[in-house]
Amino acid sequence: MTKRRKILIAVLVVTLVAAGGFAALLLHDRGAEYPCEQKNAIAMGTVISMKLYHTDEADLAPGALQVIDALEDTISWRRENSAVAQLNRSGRCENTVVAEAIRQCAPISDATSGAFDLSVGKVSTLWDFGGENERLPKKEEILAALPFVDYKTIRVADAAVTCENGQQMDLGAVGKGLACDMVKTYLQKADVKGAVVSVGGSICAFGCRDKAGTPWRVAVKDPIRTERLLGVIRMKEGFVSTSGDYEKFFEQDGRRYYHILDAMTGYPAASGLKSVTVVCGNGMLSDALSTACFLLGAKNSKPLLESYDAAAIFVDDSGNISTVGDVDFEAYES
Amino acid sequence: MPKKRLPVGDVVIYAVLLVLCLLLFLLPMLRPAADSLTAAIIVDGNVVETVDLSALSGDVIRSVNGCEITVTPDGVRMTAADCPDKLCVRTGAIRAAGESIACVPNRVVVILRSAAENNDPYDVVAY
Repeated sequence: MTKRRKILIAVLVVTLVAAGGFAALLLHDRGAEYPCEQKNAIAMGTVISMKLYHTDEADLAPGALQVIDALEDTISWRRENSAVAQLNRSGRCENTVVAEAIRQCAPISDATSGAFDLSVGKVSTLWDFGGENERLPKKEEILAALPFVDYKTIRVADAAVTCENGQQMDLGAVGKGLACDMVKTYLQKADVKGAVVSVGGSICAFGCRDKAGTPWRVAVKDPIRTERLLGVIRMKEGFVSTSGDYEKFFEQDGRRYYHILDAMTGYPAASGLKSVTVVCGNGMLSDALSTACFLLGAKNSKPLLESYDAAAIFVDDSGNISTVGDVDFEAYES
Repeated sequence: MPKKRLPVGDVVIYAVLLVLCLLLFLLPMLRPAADSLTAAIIVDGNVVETVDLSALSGDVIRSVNGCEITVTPDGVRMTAADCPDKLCVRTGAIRAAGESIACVPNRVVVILRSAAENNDPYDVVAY
C-alpha cells in the first residue's frame, strides 16, 4: 500500500468517526423520548402548563387539573366554602392540608422574624394585588390591620386549626407550590415516566422524558428585562419557585408597589432584590422559601436555605446575579 | 509526459470523503430552526388558533373572548382586554418558547411554542 493511500484511509476513518458521532448526537438530541401529553389550561387563577411523558392511552392532564381545582376549593380565601374561608370567618377549621401548611411554615416565619407570615390576610386584602380593588392603602389602614397578623398564636393540633386573635389566613405564598406537590403525587400514582409541570411559574419536575435520563432544563425569567430569560437550571428532579417584584405590581407616584409583603411593616419588601428563585425537594417549601428569601435578602438567606437543603438564585436591583447552595445554573449572556 | 492516473482505490476514497463532508455540512440543516415560534391561542383549555410567527410579514390581531391579541414576527402581546384587572395587558410581550400570557377572567391563554420542541434550550420557564 502506498503512503498516500495510507494517509487517505486514515483521513477517511477520522471523517467516518466524526460523521458517526455527529449523527449520533443529532439523533440523541431528538431523543428517544417517551410520548408526551401537553396541556395548557387555567386553574387557581393562573396558567397551568404540563408536559407529561407516559405511555397510557388515557390523558392524565384532566385528572391533574382536578387535583389543582380541589386544592383551590380548600385553600382559597376567596372561595366561600373553602377551609381557609371558614377559618377566617369562624377562627376554626379542620383540614389536613391547611394544618400541615401552617405547621410547616411556622419555622420559616421564625427565621424571617415574622416578615413571612401566612396570617397576613388582613393586610394583603387592603392592597388587593391583581384584584379589582388594587390600591395603595392609607397608613392608618395598615396600622389598624397589623395587630391581626400573628402566626405565633395560631394553634394547630393534628388537622384542627384555631385562630383566636382574628387572624385572616392567606395561603397565596404557598398555594402554587402546594399544587405542584399534589400534582406530583397524583402523577406518580398514575405511573408517569416523567413530567414537568408549571403552576403559574412554580415548577415541579420529576422522572425522565427519555431513556437517557436527560436532566430537565428550567429557564428562569429575567426580572429586569422581563421579555428575556436570565438563564437555565439543570436538574434531575425537584421544585422551583420564583418570587419577583415584576409579577403583580402597580406604580404610583413613580414608585413600584409589588405583592411580596413584609408582614411586620405591611408594605412591600425592601431587601434590594428583584427576584429569588429557589430549588428545593418540596413544592410548598420552595414556594415559601422564595418569598422568605426575598424578604430576608441574599446575605441573610443562606442559613435558612441550608436548613432546608435548598438552593437559590438571587437577582438584585442592579441586575447582579448570585447563587447560594448547590444549583446547576447557567446564566445566559446579556 | 503522459498524465498519471489516480488509482481506482484512491478515487473511491476521495468520493466517499466528499460525500461524508457534504453530509457533515448538510446534517445541521435538517434540524428545524430552534427559534421558529408558534403562538397557540387557547380558550377554556382548547387551542382555537395557532399562528406561525416566522410566516408573518406584519402584525396580526385576533379578538378572542374579550381579549385583543397582537402577534408580531418577534412575539405576542395582549393589547386590550375587557377584564377588570388588565393583568394580561400589563404582562407585556412574550418572546420565548414556553412563555405565556393569561387572561384569567376571560379564560384565554396565549402560549409560545417552539416549532422544534426537542431542540428547545429548556423544558419550562419559571417565573
